[in-house]
Amino acid sequence: LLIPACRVAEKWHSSTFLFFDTICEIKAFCTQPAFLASEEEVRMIFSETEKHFAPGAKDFSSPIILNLFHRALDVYNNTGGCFDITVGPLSRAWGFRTGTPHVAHPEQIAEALSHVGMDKITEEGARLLLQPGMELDWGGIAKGLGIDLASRALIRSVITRGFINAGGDLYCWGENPDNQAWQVGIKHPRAGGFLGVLALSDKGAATTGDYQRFFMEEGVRHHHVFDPKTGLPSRGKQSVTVVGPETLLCDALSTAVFVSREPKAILDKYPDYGAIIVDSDGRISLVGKIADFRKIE
Amino acid sequence: MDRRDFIQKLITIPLLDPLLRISTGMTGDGELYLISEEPHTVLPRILRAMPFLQRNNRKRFAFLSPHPRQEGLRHILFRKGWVSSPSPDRAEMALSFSLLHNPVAPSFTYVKDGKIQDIRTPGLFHVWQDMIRAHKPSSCLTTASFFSHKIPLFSGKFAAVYREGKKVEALPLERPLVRSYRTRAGRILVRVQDRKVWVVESSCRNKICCSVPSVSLSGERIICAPNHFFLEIQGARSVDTTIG
Repeated sequence: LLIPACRVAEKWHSSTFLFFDTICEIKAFCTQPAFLASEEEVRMIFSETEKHFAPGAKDFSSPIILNLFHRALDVYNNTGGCFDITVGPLSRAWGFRTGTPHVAHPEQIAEALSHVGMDKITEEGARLLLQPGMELDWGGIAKGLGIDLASRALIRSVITRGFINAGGDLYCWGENPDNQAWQVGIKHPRAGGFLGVLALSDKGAATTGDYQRFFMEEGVRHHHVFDPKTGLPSRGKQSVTVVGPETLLCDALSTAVFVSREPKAILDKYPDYGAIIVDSDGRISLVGKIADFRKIE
Repeated sequence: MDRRDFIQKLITIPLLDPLLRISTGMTGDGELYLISEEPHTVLPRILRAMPFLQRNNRKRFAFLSPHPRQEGLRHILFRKGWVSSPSPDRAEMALSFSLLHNPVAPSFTYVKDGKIQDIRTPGLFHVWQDMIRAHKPSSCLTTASFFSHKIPLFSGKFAAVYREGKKVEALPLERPLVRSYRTRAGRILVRVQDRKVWVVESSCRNKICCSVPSVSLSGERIICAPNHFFLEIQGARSVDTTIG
């Protein structure tokens, strides 16, 4: 009796779902059962990440919280405080937390700023101690962590080619269906179309822009990326995309570079990372290690 | 340097290389013709003084023909951040070598679209002076042809509409239409016109989806997070995914 070998073919699969308040997309080259398992794994990791790092979460002692806090603190120290997860009171003062964004009064900003600064957080045992009035905002780093954890899980499960894109934070590995590096279009911060195309393999990327959450008042754009020193929306750039080995760091560094007036000084400390910066006049500059970016001309 | 005299020294074969490669999906950005026994010392200086030759940050090189200074050139280009391209078709700079009939004074010139370009700058003048002073006459012609890859961006064929992560409809772009969708936060109104798509109205609070410019290229998206709604332009694939 001959039993035919039953082999499940590998092919490209993709799916989209909602997490982190945005659209998440997975694409992977594997068998159908492997993809279903991967999808489940990614959903589980994103769900856990979302639970721990949701706005207003009061968990200050889980290992995952402490670990990400230390990663964030490193970036805070290396960027002169341009990346700071304690900007929660500023988001609240400007109404981004409550969904009613408005220009904050100077007194509100001053009050919020008195609660901003990662150096105000202390650790006692395995627990973070926040001063009264402090509020953490993990939005600039948690999604990157979720993507790193999820993509590592899929790579460990022997999926050799794919990407995970959660609302613009992304990790891609291996080659695309054309057997080339993944072609990643960067949205233009003002016009329709793409700013350019990145070719990435085994790399992460994340973008911070003044167009992602904003409101206009008297012709002025007020967005959600605050300068922790002034308490105002950071000025001088439309968008920053950071590329590098870890999406977590891309995520945090894109905010830091967006806020900083010295992007090169920051990226000098992260030699494996590079940034595509669009300034407020729409000029594009590349800083640090950007292996393969083509502008749309 | 007498440019007409220079170009007359060139043989025709190197001129053909760039023309042949344009048909492979690349745009010719000109050719640098360099007569020198020491191209490996001169070329990096010229490249530094002519930054416009590297329109993007891709720096891949390949040799179209064996070059007597190949190892020296490879070594110096690696040091300057260039990488070797696995295929000449994917290189931004293709190097080739030709032997002139007679040795001539060392020199260089830049030709674009079949015309000699005026590239007189203080930086290049110093390079040229150093060549005249220190280099002996040479019959070694190095041609560096520069290319940029065209990015194939395609207009989409339809807009795939997703609600709660599930695809609900594909709107063709070839005819004008308006569609209303019930969503988690209420309603969202989408318009298709002139092969472009945009959100006209939305019940979401911040209306960011309404302020996003219209989309038309394959891979472009409009997302309304509060409504758990997004649309993506689909058709011939321009990019694998989109960020930002």
